[in-house]
Amino acid sequence: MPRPELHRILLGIAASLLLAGCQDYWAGTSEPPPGDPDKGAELISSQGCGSCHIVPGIIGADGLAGPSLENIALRGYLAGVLPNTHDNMVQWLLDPPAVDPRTAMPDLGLTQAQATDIAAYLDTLK
Amino acid sequence: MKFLGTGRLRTVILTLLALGIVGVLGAVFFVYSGIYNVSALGQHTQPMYALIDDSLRASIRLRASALEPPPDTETDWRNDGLLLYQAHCVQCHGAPGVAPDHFALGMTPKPTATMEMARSRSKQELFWVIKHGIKMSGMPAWEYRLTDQQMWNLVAFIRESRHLSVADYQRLAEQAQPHEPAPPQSFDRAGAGNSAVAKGHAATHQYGCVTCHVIPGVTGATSHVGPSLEGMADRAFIAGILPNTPENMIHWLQHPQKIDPLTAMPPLGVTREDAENMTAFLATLKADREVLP
Repeated sequence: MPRPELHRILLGIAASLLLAGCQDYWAGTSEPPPGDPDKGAELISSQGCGSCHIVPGIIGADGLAGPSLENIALRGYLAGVLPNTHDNMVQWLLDPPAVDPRTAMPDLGLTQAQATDIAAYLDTLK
Repeated sequence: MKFLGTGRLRTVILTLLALGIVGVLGAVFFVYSGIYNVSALGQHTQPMYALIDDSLRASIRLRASALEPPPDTETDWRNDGLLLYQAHCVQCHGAPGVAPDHFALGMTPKPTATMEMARSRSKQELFWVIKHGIKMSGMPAWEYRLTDQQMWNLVAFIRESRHLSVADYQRLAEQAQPHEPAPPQSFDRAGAGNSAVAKGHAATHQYGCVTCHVIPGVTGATSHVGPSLEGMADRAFIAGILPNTPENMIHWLQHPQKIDPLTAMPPLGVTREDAENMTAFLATLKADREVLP
């Protein structure tokens, strides 16, 4: 092995050890999404999301009608249909049957601001 | 211990212990530093290649030896074997006078040439490798796609190809008559164990479920493309649409896009039998919490 390559490999190793633990697979953006996650958590409680979904961090949210929202921020697709971006999540929360007419998830009549806050909380589940 | 006094014995033990620690640290460094190059542009180092190749050959020999090939009169290499080879094998292994496709030329390890396979492998070994595939080599398992009879026909063709010139191969290829594929039949899921749950567990691997879903108890199933299947047994709906009954699950696994035309879950060609087994397996994935009946 020629010397310069060894040198570069050692540098690479040092760099990768420094960066270990900094991975963030979600969405590929470091910008925090709009919306207030704390308000979102309150809304998830008051809107009864937990009667159908397990939602980590929300007391009593242990429903099994829909999928668990554990790691929802890492999910590739929403409802198996929409690519999982913040905007798509808001769109889905606002009117699920408009996204997938066959879905069992009802339209909860959320406002844009409420949906944005809930999406902000869900963004933290990873 | 006539030769070793207690002092010397202690030195020996401490030395061995130190060497062991250095070995473990070295192994940890080797794995996590990323120093070993996984690029497919080059072959493994010679010692690594020898280690992998010898393990592979011994593993195949051990498992293939018990197989009993059918008599030559019961295999069809000239038509079925050749057509199956052209449909599924030539892309990687080439044929007399035919190069592998571009993607296969970029593979490491390189898929073995037909002639070489025909000369260096027994019928049993060829059959075993076709049926089971080889981990981390690019060779897929065909157990879920072909019947045993089709695989023996392929083996017969590969063995016969030793005697084929380029002209012979071209002539046979022109003469071969494509025929309708045999209707789906009961497959032999030999590698999977006997119970429906064990077969369903194995099928989650062979139908690629593991590439998109977290599945508790299945090694390597860690992707979040679709939802985790944890607690699937107690989920009320499948895909947020169908009530979660065994018959609905079988239907969904076989034809997801018939149930939801918008779903990103693709139809994977799951047979009825495999869908039943997978449904039995999914029914074992209970939710963490108590569920009222």
